[in-house]
Amino acid sequence: MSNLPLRRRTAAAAIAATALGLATPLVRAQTTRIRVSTIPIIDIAPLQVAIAKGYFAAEGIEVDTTPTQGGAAGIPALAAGQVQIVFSNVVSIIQAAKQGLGVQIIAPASTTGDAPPDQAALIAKKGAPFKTGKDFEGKRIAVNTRNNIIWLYARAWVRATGGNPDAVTYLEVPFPQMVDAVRGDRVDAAFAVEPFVSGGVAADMQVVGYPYTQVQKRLPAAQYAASKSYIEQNPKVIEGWVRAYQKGVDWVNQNLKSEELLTIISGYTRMPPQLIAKLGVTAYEKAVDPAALVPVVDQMRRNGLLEGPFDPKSILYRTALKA
Amino acid sequence: MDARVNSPAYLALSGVGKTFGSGAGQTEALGEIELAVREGEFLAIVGPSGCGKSTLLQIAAGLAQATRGTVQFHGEEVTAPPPGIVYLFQQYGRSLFPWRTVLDNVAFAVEHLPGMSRAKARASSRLYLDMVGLGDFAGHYPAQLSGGMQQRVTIARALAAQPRVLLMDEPFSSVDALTRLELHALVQDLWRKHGFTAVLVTHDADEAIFLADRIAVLSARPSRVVRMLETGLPRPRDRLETPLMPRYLELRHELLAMLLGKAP
Amino acid sequence: MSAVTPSRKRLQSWLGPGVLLVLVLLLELATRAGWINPVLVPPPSAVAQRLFAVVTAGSIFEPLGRTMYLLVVAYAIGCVLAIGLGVLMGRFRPIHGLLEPLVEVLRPLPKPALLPPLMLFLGLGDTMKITAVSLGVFFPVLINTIQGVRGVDPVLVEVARTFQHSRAALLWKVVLPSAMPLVLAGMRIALGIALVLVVVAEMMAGSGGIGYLIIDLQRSFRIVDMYAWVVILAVLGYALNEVFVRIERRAIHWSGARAG
Repeated sequence: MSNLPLRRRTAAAAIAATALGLATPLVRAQTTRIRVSTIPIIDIAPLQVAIAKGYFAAEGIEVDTTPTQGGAAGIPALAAGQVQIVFSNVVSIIQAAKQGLGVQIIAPASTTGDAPPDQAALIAKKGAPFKTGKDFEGKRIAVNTRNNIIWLYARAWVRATGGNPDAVTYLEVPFPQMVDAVRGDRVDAAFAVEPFVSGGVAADMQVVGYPYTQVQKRLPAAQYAASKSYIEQNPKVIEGWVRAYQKGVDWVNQNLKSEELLTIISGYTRMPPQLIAKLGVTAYEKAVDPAALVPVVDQMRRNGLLEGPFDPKSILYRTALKA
Repeated sequence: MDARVNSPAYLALSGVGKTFGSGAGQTEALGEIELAVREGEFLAIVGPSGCGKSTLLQIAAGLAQATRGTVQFHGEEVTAPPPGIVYLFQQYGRSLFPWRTVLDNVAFAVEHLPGMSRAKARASSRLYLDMVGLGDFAGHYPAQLSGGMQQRVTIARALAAQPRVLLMDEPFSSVDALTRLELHALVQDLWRKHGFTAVLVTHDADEAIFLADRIAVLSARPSRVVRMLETGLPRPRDRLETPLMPRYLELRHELLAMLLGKAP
Repeated sequence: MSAVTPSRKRLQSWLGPGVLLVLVLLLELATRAGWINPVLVPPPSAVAQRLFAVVTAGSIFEPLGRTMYLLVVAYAIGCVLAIGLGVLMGRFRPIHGLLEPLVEVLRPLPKPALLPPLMLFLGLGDTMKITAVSLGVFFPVLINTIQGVRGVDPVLVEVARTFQHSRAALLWKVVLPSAMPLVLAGMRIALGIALVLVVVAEMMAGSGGIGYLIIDLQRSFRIVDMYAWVVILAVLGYALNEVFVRIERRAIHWSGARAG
């Protein structure tokens, strides 16, 4: 083409661009764009798998992820319409619903088991003298945001192990920066989640406790939620999204120890694979048990996060319930 | 009178010269000044504009440095403002602290002296304010006073320091003619009462003749003392009567001729 | 052009608050009608109600007290250091020459950007916050002090010399009072900066105070309370400025320069 005079070349390029431009709406009309606000932690592995393996694309959905510090930051973005689905801890979701932000859970993300070890742990420097909640009085614990599940169960753990939760300072540090914060003495300990726990322990950290399971079993820690209005206007999209997501859950549950899964996790968390080699991934749920939300609501009341009546079933959309 | 004529040099300027700048752009303001001020006298220094009268006075006050020659006060060389000499500024308005009352401006002259408390300083300042007729304005601020009144405050302040020598740099050139005459009378009065040595720089011939015992006439740049006149007029001098005396008129004629003749 | 009559002046002085009132009413209408999402931007009347509740319940005092404590301490430290150094730098060329490059590098830095490094070095407690806020206060006061000191009328300096005041007295009695109008102008700017910085520091490294509380309320989606506290902050800023302007007017009544 280079031997054509400039004017001819420009004309040819313009025609090609117009043709492409006209064709694109046809293609786009069949895909829905969904932006999901996430936190780069182990809980969202099935989501990342579903994206990587094209399960969403097969449902005609294009998924965009945007990382945040936590649900407390993601939910306002949902209310403002900047994201359509938010990955958030259940405590933030309940508070948002109570304050009238109209959030509904469409699928579970992570649930803890019956006994330790959890996928979330309280970590401190190796050799640090912390053993119980009493040791943390007057000290600083890192949480990703305050007033969410991490903060709530850090407090519950301090209380359960004999300390006064109000005598502890909780500082906000994003999950990926928690190990550095402990190492640099900006905090004394951090309530971190995988893969950052394994990453830290492989280096110079030790586990002090498991605030989730040491306080409560089978805790539905985090879920995916959307706004009531979006669900009402796009029920088919939501169903399609949940279907694709659950395929991702199935794949992960069948490939818990695989290299491929570790590589995917290493990718979106930016943790070098050798640091998280010892990471033990546990199976993911596909439904939320409303009864399991009741103890969470109780903890929230006890720590001043909730006042007045609240029915857990009111925040569960049917796609989150057992089929 | 005789004692004063024969007394040794009290404030002596020998060979004082001042050059500003260096190299090709330099200006020689003062050429070579020889001046012996007698104790207790009232000396006027007159000369054409730009002849460096103010610079000369500042050097005598220790506020500026001569390029050549020395200044001696009581036999000691002057390199910094010596105790006993007070300089009165031409820009009297700018020389008063606007954030201090009139009383506290006067007190500035003595408040830092050993043994002086704020109360004592203020009491003494009140006396001097009364002397210049501004006793009622002690609580005012300088900005609230007219030009003539501001000048009187600076005089009160200078006197409060009980100086041996008062160096006045064209102090009345920016007040109106009538106020000037009043201030002349005031200065003469205070000088006679307190007996300090006064050196007045002025371009006003009448002022010089009315106030001074001797008048040093400077040439244009680079200036030297070209003439020393003895006024020889009786004291106390009167604003209305003295200017009618033949001697006064002679001096005026001679002085103006020199000043005008020397003008470029 | 006709003269500004007393009645016109009265009208003009009501215009500013009047515009503000109209905007608030428009906002009330917009949020109640749902044109603006009332969950994200509550109606002003709801905010006012909550504000009243906070004040009458006394829960305003603890966070306000914490923030004010940090603000006052840091402001005082910043001003004293800045005025002291400013007088030295303004009067003595060698000192100025020595420190000016460092000042010129640090001054243009937006001080919130210094918070993360300060948190690394000084942790997250009061020391870090006071340091950060003092730094923010320091530079505008320093620059203005230097300017003010340099602008001292040389005649006044000579007056001090002819009356044989010491060098120290010259600085204290002549240079500093003379520089006051500019120094106070710098201090007024620094006051606004200090409030911003203390709130941001509390937000980033909080364990109390208004900044921490605002973040906390947002985390729990207690939007109306959050806005109530933002209003409290606005009122605090306004009140601090008004108090300062009044003090400034009294302190430099003698100066032609009038406070804004």
